[in-house]
This record gives sequence, structure tokens and C-alpha cells, in this order.
Amino acid sequence: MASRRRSAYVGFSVLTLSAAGLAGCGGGDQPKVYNSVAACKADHPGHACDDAWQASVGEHDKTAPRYTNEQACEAQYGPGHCEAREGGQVFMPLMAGFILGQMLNNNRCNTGAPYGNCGGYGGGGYFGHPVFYASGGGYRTPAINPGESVFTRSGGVSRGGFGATAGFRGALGGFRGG
Amino acid sequence: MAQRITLPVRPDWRRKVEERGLTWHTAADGSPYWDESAYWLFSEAEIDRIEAAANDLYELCLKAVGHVIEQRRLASFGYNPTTIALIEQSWARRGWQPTFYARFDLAYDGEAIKLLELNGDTPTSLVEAAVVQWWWLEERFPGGDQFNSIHEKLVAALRLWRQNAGAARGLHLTCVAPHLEDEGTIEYLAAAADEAGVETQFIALGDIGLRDGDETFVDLDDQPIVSLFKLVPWEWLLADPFGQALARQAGAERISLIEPAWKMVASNKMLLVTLKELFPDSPYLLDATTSARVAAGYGDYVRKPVLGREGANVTLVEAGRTLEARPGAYDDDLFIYQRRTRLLEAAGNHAVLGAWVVNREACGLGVRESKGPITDNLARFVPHVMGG
Repeated sequence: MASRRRSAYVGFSVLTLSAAGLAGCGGGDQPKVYNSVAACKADHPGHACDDAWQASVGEHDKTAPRYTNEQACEAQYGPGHCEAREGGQVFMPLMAGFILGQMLNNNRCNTGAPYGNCGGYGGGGYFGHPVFYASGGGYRTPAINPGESVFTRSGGVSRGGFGATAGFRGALGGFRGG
Repeated sequence: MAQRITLPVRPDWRRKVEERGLTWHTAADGSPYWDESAYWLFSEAEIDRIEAAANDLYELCLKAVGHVIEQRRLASFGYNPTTIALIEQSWARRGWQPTFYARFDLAYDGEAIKLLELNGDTPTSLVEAAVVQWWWLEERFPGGDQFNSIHEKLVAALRLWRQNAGAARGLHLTCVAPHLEDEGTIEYLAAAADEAGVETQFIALGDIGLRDGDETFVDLDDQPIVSLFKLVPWEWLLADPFGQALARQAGAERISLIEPAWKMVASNKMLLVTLKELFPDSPYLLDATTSARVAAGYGDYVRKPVLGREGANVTLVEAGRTLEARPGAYDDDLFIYQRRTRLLEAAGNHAVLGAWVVNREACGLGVRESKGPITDNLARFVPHVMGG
């Protein structure tokens, strides 16, 4: 019905994550973490797992938090869960595994959606995200915590300088509010 | 008057709302956040009044923000000199810029409509209101009507932004990640931008880079971020380690953010006090004060942190006795006191009306319900219908 009050059409449908992940789950559920491509392939035959693994490794190398000493890193991710990089200059959490998801609507991939840039994340509508070990057991994703230091990547670019306040306010896994 | 009508949920409602982007439909305790076991039915005359209230209130807010800035009263809103300079500058330069969105939380008891809060910077429940309830109506009441052209208006605002900003300027979008709700909202905003012909690129908040030397903010490909849609309150960004650089870069117009910095003021509950002071006769404004002594004279009142969100640190006082106090992370903030008013209520459900304004035009409604009198982050989103 034509109405001045109501949008004529709202043509929005989104990514739903594949059986690996969030689809059909309650808000509090976590996506399934795969520790290997083989474990992933048991659920998802085909190339999706290879693509997601590769994409996750790439993302991990590019975006995993960097710490100036091993202790600070292990405090976040647990003993033995960090590795030295760049000739021992920095320490990064090990990639414990990855999560896999699928874009329902492939067109969305190209427009910079959250898991944007499908090329980098495996293409074909699948994406992968690296996960780390958590210090208290289980897994965690790369969230910056309050008090963690800003770290510098090569090329003279610092990252991780936004997000600490959001973490403190409880926005991580909670609510941004407003 | 508005009625709350129960009806059976769609058997596969979870899948249906997920398809429309709402993956956070269930609270951590397993109870539904998206609650289609009922809907609110408003008459067209009621919607007319809600629409008029939201339009009026938005204009009053613009005047109040301008007043606070021109009278140099921003320090009393809790801002430091850096932030004040940023707000003043963004206000002076606002010019052609569309303001994208804001949500007023209104109390309505069948007669009076009163402003409870304003959320001008990072309003939540956008996907629920603009998309999910639109599709719910489409399926439940084909041919029915709803106060909801939020999507159309957002696309139009983004189109206007594109025309003014120049086609070459892509838009980066950012939020805390991983975060189901915020990433889902960004996903929707990216789709709306796409529809408006704006090229977008997502970057997680923690991934935003700051280049040494010239302090350019860059994405993961080290490309400059020139325009940034942020689903993070300004105050949080400015308090972060990169906050000072952001203030300098925004001040130098080397980066522009949506919403603009002055929208902070339109999210600050201190503005409720300013509004009442400037427009004492507005039928939409409740008494509000910063003085505990004045508030005691109200009898029943609500104490709120000026920067609070989702009901955190809100205290409800009735006849001088504290009825309910919510904990939260906003204890360090300034507080205001607002005279208490009645909410729409049915079968123990207290409903707050979220009236959406996009680029200065009231264009939609989203109802949130709580069992208790304080609307918090567990408040359920309940769809609505506009009937004859």
C-alpha cells in the first residue's frame, strides 16, 4: 500500500552465517572455532575451509595485536600462547584457529560490509576470521582491552588506539547504548 | 488510544528476522529481544501527534544546541577545552551537511507526549525499526500501514551527502568488532549507502591506523580515511589514545565524521535542562534540573547521568524514596534530575516510544518494552501498526 508514512520498499537482506556459525543461534552463542582446515572440512566439504583458513592467516598477520614484551601478551592470551615476531621486537598471540561464515547475498561483499572485501576473506561468499586463545581457557577474538598499550606496526602506522573506552564501558559483547 | 494486542509469533521468526539483519534477536538469558508476541496499534491521529512532537522537538533541540554553543556553556556539559573547540567548529561549519539520524525516547500515556531522552549521536535499534518491523508488517498485515519511512529517508540523506561530498569521497564505516549488534547495524548502513551510490569500506575500530608524522588516519590498506561513519559515541573516541589526534585532524578538516561533533550535545542529557529553561511552555518537556534540592520538590523524579546509556546508573525516586537504582559504568558523570512521567502500560509492560528523525524529518517509530519502569538494554523491541 502506498503510504507517505512508510518506505515503499526496504530491500535489505544480509549475510547469514553458515552452519558453522551464528545462524539460528541466540545472541549469546559463539560461532564454532576450527583448529584446522581438516576439522573444518568435516563440516564443510569443498574449498570454503581452505579459503577461510588462508584469509584468516592473512588477517592474523596483518591485524593481530602487537606487544612489546611477552609477559603483556601472555597476560591476555595465556602462557605459551604468544610468539615473537619481527626478530623478537614484538610479541603476538598465536592464531588458535578460525571461524567460518558465509555471505547469503554475495553482492554485499563488495561494498565494504563488516566482513567486507570478500577477496581478502576467501571470496565465493565465505569469510574467515582468526581467533586467539584466551588466558582463562577457550578462545577470544582480537579486542583491545583497556590499559593495553598502543602498538606500532611497520611502515610507521600505529593501530589499536581506538576502542579502549568502548571496552571499559562494556560495549564489547554488550551494548553500545544510546 | 494505543492498544497492545497479542498474537502468535511466526513459527520461524528467528530465521526471518536474521534474514533481515537482526542476529541479536535473543537476549543472553534466552528471552526474546525482538518480541513479536504482541504489537502496538496506534491510530493515525496518534501517529500525527507523535510525528509533530518529534519534528517540534528536533527543532527545539537545534535551537538549544545553538544556544549552549553561542553562550559558551559547553563546559557545564562535562566537556574539556579540546572537545568544546571541536563542537564549536562543527556547529559553525554544519552548512549543507545532512544530519543523519536521531531517536527521541518519548513517554506517552494516551494523552500527553513527553520527551524522556534524546539520542543524537549513536542511536540504537535502527535495524529493528527501519527494516525488521517493516518486513514483519509486510507479512503479518499485508496492505497495513506503519510510521516507518526511516529507510527511505536514510538513503535520501546519504544521497545528499554523496552529492555534496563529491563522488570521489568514499565512506569508511566503523564500530567495535566483534560485536553482533553493532556490526549488524553497520551492515545495514552500508547497504543503505550502497543504495545511495556511496562506496563504503568497513574497518573495525581497533584496526584504524594512525600514520606517524602527518597523523593521517588510515585503513588496513594504509589508505587515508577521509569520511568515517562511526557507530561509537564521540566521547569514547575522544577519550581513547587516538582521541587527541582525532580532535586535531577533525579540527583541520582532514577527516570528517558522521555524525558531526556537535551531535554529542544532542545526546547529552544536560540538554534536557537547557530545553526546559529555554522553552518552559513546550507541552513536550518535563521539568529537569541539575539541583538535587529542586528535584526533591518534584517528589517523583528520575536521576540520570548526562552521558549515560541504556538505563545505566539511572535512579528512580518516588516521594523521596528510591524505588529502583541501576548500576553501570557512568558513575563518573554529571547527573540531571527529570520529573517522572507515566509510560504507556499494558499487562505490566512499560513502553517507551522511540521516534526517529532523519535529516530533520520525523519518519518512524520503534517501541521498546520493559517489565520494570526503567528502560534498559534488556527492553524488548515490539513492532507497531498504524490503523485507521
